[in-house]
Amino acid sequence: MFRADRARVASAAAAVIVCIVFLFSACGAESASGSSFAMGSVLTARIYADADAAQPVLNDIYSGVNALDRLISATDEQSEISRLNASGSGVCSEDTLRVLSDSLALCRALNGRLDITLGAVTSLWGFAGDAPRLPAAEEISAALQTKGPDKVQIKNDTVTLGGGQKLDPGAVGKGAGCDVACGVLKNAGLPAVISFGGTVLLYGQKPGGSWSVGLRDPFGGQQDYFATLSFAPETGDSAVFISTSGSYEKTFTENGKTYHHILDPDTGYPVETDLIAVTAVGENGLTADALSTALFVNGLNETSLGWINSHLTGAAFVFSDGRVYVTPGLRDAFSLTDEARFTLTENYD
Amino acid sequence: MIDRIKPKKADLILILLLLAAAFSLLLARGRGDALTAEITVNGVSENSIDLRAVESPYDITLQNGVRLHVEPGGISFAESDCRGKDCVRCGVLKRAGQAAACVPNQTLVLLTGKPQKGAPDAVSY
Repeated sequence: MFRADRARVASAAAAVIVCIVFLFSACGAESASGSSFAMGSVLTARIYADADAAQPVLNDIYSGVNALDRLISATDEQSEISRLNASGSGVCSEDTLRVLSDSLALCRALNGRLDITLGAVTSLWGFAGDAPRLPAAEEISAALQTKGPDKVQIKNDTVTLGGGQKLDPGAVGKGAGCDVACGVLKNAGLPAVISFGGTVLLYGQKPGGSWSVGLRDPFGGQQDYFATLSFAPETGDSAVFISTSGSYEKTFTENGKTYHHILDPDTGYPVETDLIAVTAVGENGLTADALSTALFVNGLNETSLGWINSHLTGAAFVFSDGRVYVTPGLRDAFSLTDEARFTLTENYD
Repeated sequence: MIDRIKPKKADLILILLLLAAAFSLLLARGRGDALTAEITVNGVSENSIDLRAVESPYDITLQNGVRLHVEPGGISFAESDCRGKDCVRCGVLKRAGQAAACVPNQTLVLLTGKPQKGAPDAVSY
């Protein structure tokens, strides 16, 4: 009798432990993560699968993105874009042509507020390298003469640039890389979150919950956030792309003045604006990446809101005084986590 | 007829021990399990640090001159000879899945472990 009773009591107590272990195991789905350099930045992936299933998918993502980088990098002298910039004309691969065609179409649709033909100007500033500098006004003025999406001609697989023109797909590169990653994940059928130099891809449904993406605190560190966006996709093959452009990234100070990397295509100088960051959310990586830059350049106005309606799910504009404007399409997903320094505003005039 | 169970002292001790073990497990889980900083240079693993086991701050200077600051539950780039200093501005990594890098020095820090409850899956910057 004593042994039987003790066994029952011990079994009941042990069951408590088993339940706790099971509960926590059930809450956290198995996932594998990895990180790699790509396009002068870092690509981090978390794939919801066991390590054996995730590893080949991670490898395919890294190799696919790096293959695209070798084609469209403006800093790799062997890339198709660099050779095109050097010679003014050349045959390009299908992947390069697709990125160029999509980007040039967006440049036109966005009234030139995004311009990938600004390479002659961006190379003067050198933000993509390790030694950015303030170019002379005459240099900028001369380089600006070469820009213009309509000067680029694409016939079959041959691309011809305007005189002295250079392409810089930097504003769309990471978005295009996320599109490549999305294709790999779609083939694998595995949910995942990809963070590529600040552009985020949420693929599929997150096991056990909804996706959450922090929006960087413009006044804090790179991993600090002031708000979150939550998404609970209804289908397993849905993709959400989140891209942010901010004047806090890639800066240098000369003669007491700080210069950021987002150039105004009209002036060739860093955009002067009361915005400090813009986040664009959409269903295509290249488009979200392009729009975050264009919206930062163009500011918050009717024209920008029209672009958002045409190309995106929504956007969030952050002003340097802490005001935040969120477009209607994103308001249900948006939550302010730092209400002390940031306030939501309905005004955009 | 059901016999009333009268647990003896040994039974109570056993129950208490088992509950204590369960509670310890609960606390360990609550801390988010392991949080490991994987450090690679030029794609080669340089170091692996269990950030949960760090009790007081210290610095690591890598062969390429990059200095990392390790603290309980976090790690950051403290110093690098690169011009942009983007790596230093990344701030302190504290959550599983976060990564920071000094691209010119090909130095990468990735935090691995189970995602912490309530933390975002990624940060867009």
